[in-house]
Amino acid sequence: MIEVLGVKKRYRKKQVIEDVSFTAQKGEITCLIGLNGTGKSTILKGIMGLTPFDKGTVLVDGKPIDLNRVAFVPDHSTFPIHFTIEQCEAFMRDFYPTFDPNLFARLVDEFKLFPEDKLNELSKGTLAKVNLALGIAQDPDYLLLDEPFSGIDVFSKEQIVELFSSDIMEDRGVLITTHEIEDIEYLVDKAVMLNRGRIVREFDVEDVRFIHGKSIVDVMREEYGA
Amino acid sequence: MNLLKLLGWEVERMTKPYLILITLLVVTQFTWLGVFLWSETNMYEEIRRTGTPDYVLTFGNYIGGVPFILSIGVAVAAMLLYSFWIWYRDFQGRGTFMMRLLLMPQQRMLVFGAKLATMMLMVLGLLSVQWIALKLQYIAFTGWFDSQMIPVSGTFEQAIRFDGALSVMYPASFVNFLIHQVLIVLVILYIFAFVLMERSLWQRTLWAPILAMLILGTLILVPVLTFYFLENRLFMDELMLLILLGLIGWMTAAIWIARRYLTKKLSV
Amino acid sequence: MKRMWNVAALGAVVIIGLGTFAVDMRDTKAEWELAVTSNPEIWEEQTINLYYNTEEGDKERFDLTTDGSRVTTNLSYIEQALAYEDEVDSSVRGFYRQLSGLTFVQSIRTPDGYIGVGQNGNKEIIVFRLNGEDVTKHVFGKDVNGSAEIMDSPWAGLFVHDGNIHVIYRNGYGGNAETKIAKFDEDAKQITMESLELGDEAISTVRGTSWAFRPYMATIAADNRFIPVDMTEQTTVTEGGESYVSEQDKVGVYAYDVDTKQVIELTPDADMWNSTVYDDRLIALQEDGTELVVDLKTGKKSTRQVIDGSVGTTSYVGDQLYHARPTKDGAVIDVYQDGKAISSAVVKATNEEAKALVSNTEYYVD
Repeated sequence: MIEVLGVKKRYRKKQVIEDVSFTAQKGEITCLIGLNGTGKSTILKGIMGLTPFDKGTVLVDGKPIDLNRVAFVPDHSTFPIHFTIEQCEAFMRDFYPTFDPNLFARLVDEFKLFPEDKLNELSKGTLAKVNLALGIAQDPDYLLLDEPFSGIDVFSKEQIVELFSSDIMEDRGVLITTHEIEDIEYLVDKAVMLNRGRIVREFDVEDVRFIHGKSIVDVMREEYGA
Repeated sequence: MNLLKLLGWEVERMTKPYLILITLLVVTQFTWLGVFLWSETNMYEEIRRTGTPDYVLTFGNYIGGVPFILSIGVAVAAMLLYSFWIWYRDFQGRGTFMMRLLLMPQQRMLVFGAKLATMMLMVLGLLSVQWIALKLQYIAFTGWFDSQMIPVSGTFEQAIRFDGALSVMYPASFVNFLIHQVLIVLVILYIFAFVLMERSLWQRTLWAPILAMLILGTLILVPVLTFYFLENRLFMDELMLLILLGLIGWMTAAIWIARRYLTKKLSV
Repeated sequence: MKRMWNVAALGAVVIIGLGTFAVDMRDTKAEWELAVTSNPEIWEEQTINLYYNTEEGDKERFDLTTDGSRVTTNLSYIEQALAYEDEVDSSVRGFYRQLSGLTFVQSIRTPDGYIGVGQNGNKEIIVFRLNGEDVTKHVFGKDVNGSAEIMDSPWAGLFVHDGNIHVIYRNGYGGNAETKIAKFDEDAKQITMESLELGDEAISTVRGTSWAFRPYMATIAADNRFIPVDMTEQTTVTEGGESYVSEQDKVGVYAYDVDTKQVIELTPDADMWNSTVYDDRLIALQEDGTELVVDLKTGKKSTRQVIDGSVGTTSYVGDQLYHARPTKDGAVIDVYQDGKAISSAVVKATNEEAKALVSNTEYYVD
């Protein structure tokens, strides 16, 4: 379980995150929902220690984060753009002890990627798939995904969604941020809704669906008044 | 082992610009040597025709020439700039490689160590290439003037000894050479500390670079002022000890600051 | 693995380049040995300096003691500091520390201890005396009559007479320069100045005065009548219609006579190899190996035969004369005191590297 406890973050004069706490379970997909600029990415980066929180703690299974067990997939490439996919893989193999080349090979195959392609030659959708493949191949217990669907084509989306329901993702905890919930609505187990740096609602998606007969979008509409 | 692997990546990434720099350095110097030999020979012939030449040529005349000094200056400037760039490069653009480095399960100081080692390898590499180049230039220098029956005075060692930059780069004692390398490490450490501090504060304030500069400036200035205060009051051996302690202090401070910001504060 | 090749290649370049550099800069491996044949106590605290020079500009320097030889060429900062620490005796550090805060300083050594006079910018003149471990200090501020003039002038040196410290200095510049003597009365905080009538001549240095930290200065008696000095002479040169004043050193040793306030010539010009001022004597070695001894209290001169045969390189330490004669594989150094040989030692090149240097090496003791 990833526990985010009372985290705060200020950016210059603006308080981006004000006292946010929530949890994400292993084996579940938790979705951080919010409009653009509500601090979703900041929370993910904060969990990973990329932009340290000003206050608060993050625990993974009760302990400080172990980067061998948690992988982060940002919405852009983390490799120099002139790198080929092969080079990215080589780097991952060198420095990420849990990186599984066989798993990566399988993902490359499923996503129909070409290892000799350079990152700057790829479409947004393909790049997203490369990022995802690199993240999953770290074989983490928890996977943090930042806006995996933003601005990518329909077929790439489909491939990614398919992956989430496959055996590869079994038993992994996923924390995902998105503002386009429709594509994965039926995959999500838990939703955490953010507005202006605060959590406005945290709910079990199935409960809401079965008991109240509402979809996530319905709840969003209520909360954001959109 | 991880450090070595990371060093491999860093070195691979600097290879191209580094080779360009070395080529530039060597080509500039040998071109200048050619020009120097040609013009000096002409001048000497001129003097020989008008009377007895009492003209003294030394290797120092060549290494004291503007193009030579300039080529050294460019190399030094390139090393200083690269000390900044080796970090800022990884913060550039959407493909922030720094994120990848910070997400590595290994200790973050590994990244620091690899970048420092890369810088020192580059500096030592330049010093090595320059030394070999200097020796070759001296051979060409004496060989040419001997063949033209133009007398040359002074030795290679003397020319180096009396040259402002080269006597610092290649001191007469190898221990001093090592000590100078420690000073170079110190300069790089402070540049690193500056970048890490600035990159940690940028989310907090627009004044991050100035703030970082002020903090590090104070850290550098205080011991320097203490030194100037004590300079006339202490004996040479006592001053040496003081400088040694100062260097250790400086280095510890720079590493401590860099470590603190890299592991706890850095923001991508 | 491919990436490791980059590192290895660069590493190889570094090793080749710096390896070449290290070999080029390698210190000489020459070693020397000092074998004392008589009276070894003399050599216990003594160091012989070996200077190797060639016309091509090669240089090697060694220190040689009875413990063996040490290279002193191209010392590192650390070796320099250690050598310095060795050299500057801790007992005089307090005294010199007082002096070192000053912008200008001179010192001498008398049987009562070290005496120094210094100036702090143009603010004050400070007189120090070191007696054992005690340092006493007297300050002559700008308000003391004459101090401003002395601070503005170059100093030739110090001497002590009647318990008072005297500074010989030059007042004014060019052809109008005038040699003057300032007497410091520390108790009354007064300075009295006096001009010397020297015409075109001037006193340039007072023998035995140190301008820097020299812990092993020769002791000079405090009540000598004759103060040995070096002189310069001004001549007016006219060249192409323009005339200017030119100043040259005068050969020979002179002395300022405290009683008559005149400068007299102690030794005639030329024919002099070396000289020392020690206690109340001036000892000067002549070309023929005889010593001229001048009693500085009475002015009485005497000569004595010291070195038989040709004179090699010589130097005085206190009143001891060290005389080095080159041999096939080093040198023989004889020590004389009061005109008599008191000790002898042999410097020997102990390895091939040193033997190669012998023909161009000179030996000094100081």
